[in-house]
Amino acid sequence: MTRQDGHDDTLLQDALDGRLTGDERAAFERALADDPALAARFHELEDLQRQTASLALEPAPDALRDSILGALDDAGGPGTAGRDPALPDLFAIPGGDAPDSGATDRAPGPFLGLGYMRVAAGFIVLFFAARILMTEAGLGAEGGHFADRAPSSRAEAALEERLVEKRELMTLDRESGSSAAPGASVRPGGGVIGPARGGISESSDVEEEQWEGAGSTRRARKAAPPAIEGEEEELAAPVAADATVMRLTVVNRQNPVPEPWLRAQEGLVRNQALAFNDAINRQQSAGFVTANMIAPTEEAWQQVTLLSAKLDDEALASRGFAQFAMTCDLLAADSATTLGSPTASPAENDGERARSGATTGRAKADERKQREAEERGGRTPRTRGVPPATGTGWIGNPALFQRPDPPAGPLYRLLGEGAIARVDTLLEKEDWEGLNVRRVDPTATTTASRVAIEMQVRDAYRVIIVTGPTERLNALLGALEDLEKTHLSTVEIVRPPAREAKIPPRRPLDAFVLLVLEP
Amino acid sequence: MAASDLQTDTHLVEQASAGDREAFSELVRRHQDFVYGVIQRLVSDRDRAADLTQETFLRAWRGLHHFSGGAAFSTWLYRIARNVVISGARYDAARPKIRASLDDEDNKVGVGLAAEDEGPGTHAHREETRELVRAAIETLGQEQREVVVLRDLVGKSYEEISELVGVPVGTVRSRLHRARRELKRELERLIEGPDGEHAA
Repeated sequence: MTRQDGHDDTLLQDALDGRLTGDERAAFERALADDPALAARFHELEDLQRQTASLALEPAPDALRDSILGALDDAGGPGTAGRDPALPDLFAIPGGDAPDSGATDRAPGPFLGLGYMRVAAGFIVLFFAARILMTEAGLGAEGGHFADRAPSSRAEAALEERLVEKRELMTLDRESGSSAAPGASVRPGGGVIGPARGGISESSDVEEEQWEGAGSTRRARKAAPPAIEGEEEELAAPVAADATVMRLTVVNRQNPVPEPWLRAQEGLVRNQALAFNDAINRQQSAGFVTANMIAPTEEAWQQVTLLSAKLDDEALASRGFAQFAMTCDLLAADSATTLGSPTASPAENDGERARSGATTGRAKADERKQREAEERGGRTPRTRGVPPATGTGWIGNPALFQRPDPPAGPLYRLLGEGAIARVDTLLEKEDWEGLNVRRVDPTATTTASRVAIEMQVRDAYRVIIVTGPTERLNALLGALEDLEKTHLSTVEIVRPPAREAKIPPRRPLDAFVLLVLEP
Repeated sequence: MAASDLQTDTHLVEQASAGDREAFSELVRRHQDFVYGVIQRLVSDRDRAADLTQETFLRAWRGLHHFSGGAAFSTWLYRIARNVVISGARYDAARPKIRASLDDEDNKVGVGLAAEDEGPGTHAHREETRELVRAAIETLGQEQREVVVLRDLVGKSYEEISELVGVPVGTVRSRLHRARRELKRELERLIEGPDGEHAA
């Protein structure tokens, strides 16, 4: 099919779906009259649509409603869901004012009132945040850093400003938590948590919020800083992987993508996407299923969602939800380094970025590690791949994964070698350093039907495991429950939902375990 | 008209959040056909669609407190259904495929009686064509299949699909375009038969 044909087809489709304006429609009808071939194709498409539409949706079986209501008895009351990854984050839904999709309505009074309060609070906080930012950067009220620059477009400047504001809000959050007792940190949503494990005392709420990811949207949303009107979706905390596209829409609708900035990043991310896709394909062909991962930073999310606008249609669209979601997650993880080291404070990152301009976060991270190694007088750490077993960036529960080989942790024994190749592939990326991801076994290459990714983020510990065989899953659950008793104060295990609800499943609906461990 | 018919989804959600099962039952009644119908078209398996629909409503019940009212309840519900289907697809990807085939009578959908104004031959041809279209739809990728179902079977507008699926309208348009092109190609292939013979 020629390019012209492709354009014609799009036009035909628009005509078919009634999306032409009056003038366009008139021109189209004239074109149809003048071009029999075009008319024939249009009628073909019309026939196809008619035939497709003839397949009406099948109504739900009569017994389904009773079955659902019966299952509620075992499902607990409303509001019993913890961090259910299936629950969408509606802050991320684009077009909140778009037409309803059914006989439904909008939330009245209380929701709107809350929204206005959030907007008002957002403006106030943003004002002070901007003042503090300029003061800290030594820029003064005249503008300085930003005033010296000539943004290529208003959109670009606006986007950058938002990112800075976001970082500054995080900085404010950090400052507000500094009054907690030594060794403790304050969650953004309130509440003091204990000292971080493994000697990390700086368990900042900022980092915690940044690393909130799939399946934890409730707390993340609570922790999100106030947002200004129209940006609430973007400033909300990271959401589940499949919400990436939702956020993308918001960005596109309300904040035009600055093209120069996008182009500068596109090549990098496109290459990464293709590489990731290849890796994913290899993993899947070897029997792995797709694993969710944690979105590292809000900035990364923003970047990824913007970039995936380009990638969506061209490189990823045909690959299905799972691969797309995972690619976005991986991209998000990768972008974290580009945007700055997650182990550095936001202010530090800001300062470094402002000074070094084009220097990437990865390069800076390498430099920092090199510098730290020299100061310690030890060997130069690897900047990619194997994470250091000790050090300020690496804390962990040694009972989970043991190094050096042979690994002896209970998870490792349960997961087997199959997890290794997968984790190893992921850990080849330097970007995981800030996550405290432990490599399980760098040499294993065998395959199996399970994937394990262990991450430790300061004082939060998260494991997302996608499992295969049920018997292994049960064994894993048992071991994790033991871990809860012996090593960790809080373990949340999201079991396959049918089992959780004690519903005799006709078939297993799902077989993944999302484990969130927190001290 | 029952009193519950007069209540908005939002009111029902509020009541259900407070533990009112009747309210939730009404929500199920209102939305089960849409949720089940779309899922059924996405997974091409009635039993599985019923499972996933049940799972969707259970998750919605347990997660009612997450519903902030920022979007229509049906949109929120559809998003849950979508996530449940995706999770199911991931699970399926790791399992040996034991799926209903097109020859499975249980999973044939929409096979009806001849209309009064059409002869048996016409009816048979119509049914045959519908089966071919159904088979062609099943060959589409999930994203493309989803927009075709929402647009052509459910009759949603581009904007509504955009909200439900969470992609820009332009992406809906391009996916639909590609999907229809694929459908056309697949239909031609099915009609021609594997050896290029006319099968329909």
